[in-house]
Amino acid sequence: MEEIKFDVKNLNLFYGDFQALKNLNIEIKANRVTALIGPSGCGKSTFLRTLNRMNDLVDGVKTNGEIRMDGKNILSDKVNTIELRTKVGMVFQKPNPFPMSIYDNIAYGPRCQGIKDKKVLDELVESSLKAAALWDDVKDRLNKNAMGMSGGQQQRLCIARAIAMKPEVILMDEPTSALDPIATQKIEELIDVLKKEYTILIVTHSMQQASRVSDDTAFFLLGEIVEFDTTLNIFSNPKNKKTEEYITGRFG
Amino acid sequence: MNGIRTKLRIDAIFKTIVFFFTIVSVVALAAILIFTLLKAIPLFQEVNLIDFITSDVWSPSTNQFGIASFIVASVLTTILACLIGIPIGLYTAIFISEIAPKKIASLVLFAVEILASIPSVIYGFFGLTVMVPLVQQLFNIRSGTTLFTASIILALMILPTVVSLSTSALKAVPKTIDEGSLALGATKMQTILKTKIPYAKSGILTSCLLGLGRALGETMAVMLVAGNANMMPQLFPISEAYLSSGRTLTGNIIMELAYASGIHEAALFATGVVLFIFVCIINIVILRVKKRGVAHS
Repeated sequence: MEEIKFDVKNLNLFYGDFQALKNLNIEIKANRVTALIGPSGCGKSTFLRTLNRMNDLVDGVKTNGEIRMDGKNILSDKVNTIELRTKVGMVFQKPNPFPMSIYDNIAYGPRCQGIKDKKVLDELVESSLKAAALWDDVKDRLNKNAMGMSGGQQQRLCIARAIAMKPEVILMDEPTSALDPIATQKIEELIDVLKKEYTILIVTHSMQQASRVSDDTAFFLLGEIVEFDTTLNIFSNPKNKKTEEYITGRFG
Repeated sequence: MNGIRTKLRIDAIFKTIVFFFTIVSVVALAAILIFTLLKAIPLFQEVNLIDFITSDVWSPSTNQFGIASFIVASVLTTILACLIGIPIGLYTAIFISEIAPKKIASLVLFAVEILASIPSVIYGFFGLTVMVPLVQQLFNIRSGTTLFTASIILALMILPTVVSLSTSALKAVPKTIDEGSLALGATKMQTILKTKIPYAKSGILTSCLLGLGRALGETMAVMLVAGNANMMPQLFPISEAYLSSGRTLTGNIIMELAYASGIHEAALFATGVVLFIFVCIINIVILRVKKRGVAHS
């Protein structure tokens, strides 16, 4: 049996009075790509953001239930969110490089953890950029401002930045929605390579993308997980009628 | 067809009105500039420009016009005011935009904005009745009307500019940048210092430069607390300079304009021209900084 990375039990999340996640139960397996699909506002991004506690930043959010990561409940007050986020990296919808050099972008996270050794940082920068298939593009201009890169390169830089933290999990919140098809393809190829080392969760609005890149797929609707299964089953043989309607494009 | 023609006509009329009002503001600036320059010209038939700004003898009765001591006083007060006011302003801006709960943040911002709307004569009055005696006692000097006192009052006066513009610059940093930093396991303070401030750099610098311009141009409050002594402050040690009375460029104009005539009057206008040049330099720097800011984002 495969190792379980996140074991979610009875997870509820409220924005003030509005319940955005309703009694979620799901087991996310390690070293697989799990796609979260569903119409806008269904709670898939919100769920993603509970896994690295990014929802803590939003005023008035309350959660209950459990998310066990390797057996430890990460929703507990005792959990150090800084440490959690070094283990659970995140890539956002819009590429968000910092206004500094490519090198400094990658070194940002490690430096925040107190790594100052130039040699260690150099190695991290190189290995992370290689892992994100960006090294050959940028190795001669590491000191150039990252804002000057193309959108696709910026997004791969953001992936490299996350990898530099040596995380266990990478969360991707619609990572290609701002990119053109060619850049999208590159990111998808990258995801395929990265899953060997990392557990990946990806929120996507594209059915094709979900079917191309993921091993498992969870279909969200109105804050609930309607169906969770292997991607193959979800797309070829959905058990729930709503799932079938959504993936065939009849609503959403 | 008719409808479209009417719309086009309204469009043209609107453009004309906008153009006209723009001309008014540009002409106003040009008029002030030309008037000041023309009024200053008679001085330069008697004194050359270099002597005017390098001599520290200002004696209208003997036709000696040198404003070096006023330039020094202006520069000294402006520098100290910025050294005190800018850090306070920046930290306040960080507090308002990043740390304070919403209610407290808007309360502090409100207070700072009130600070901006207090007339400068009130600052001067406060300085004269509160700060001057305080400085006098604190440093045990004969009179508390000093460049130091003026600097303190100026620091207070530039606070609103620095705080409100820096706050907006920090608030304008996209949320995605914060999130990117926090998601990498950075602490809140690391996020503020290492990403948000660099991102807002050009806006913050602009706020500081505008504060600097304000300090340089302030007249009334400074005149009330600086003592206005017509002499070169002793520069070494620098504490000596700050604890002596001094007259700034603006102070010089307002002190004497009421009774000046002839060359004396021209010399006051020339003082204004020098002040104007300083302000222009600051504004050119601001433009540069802004342009660089646009280039990076």
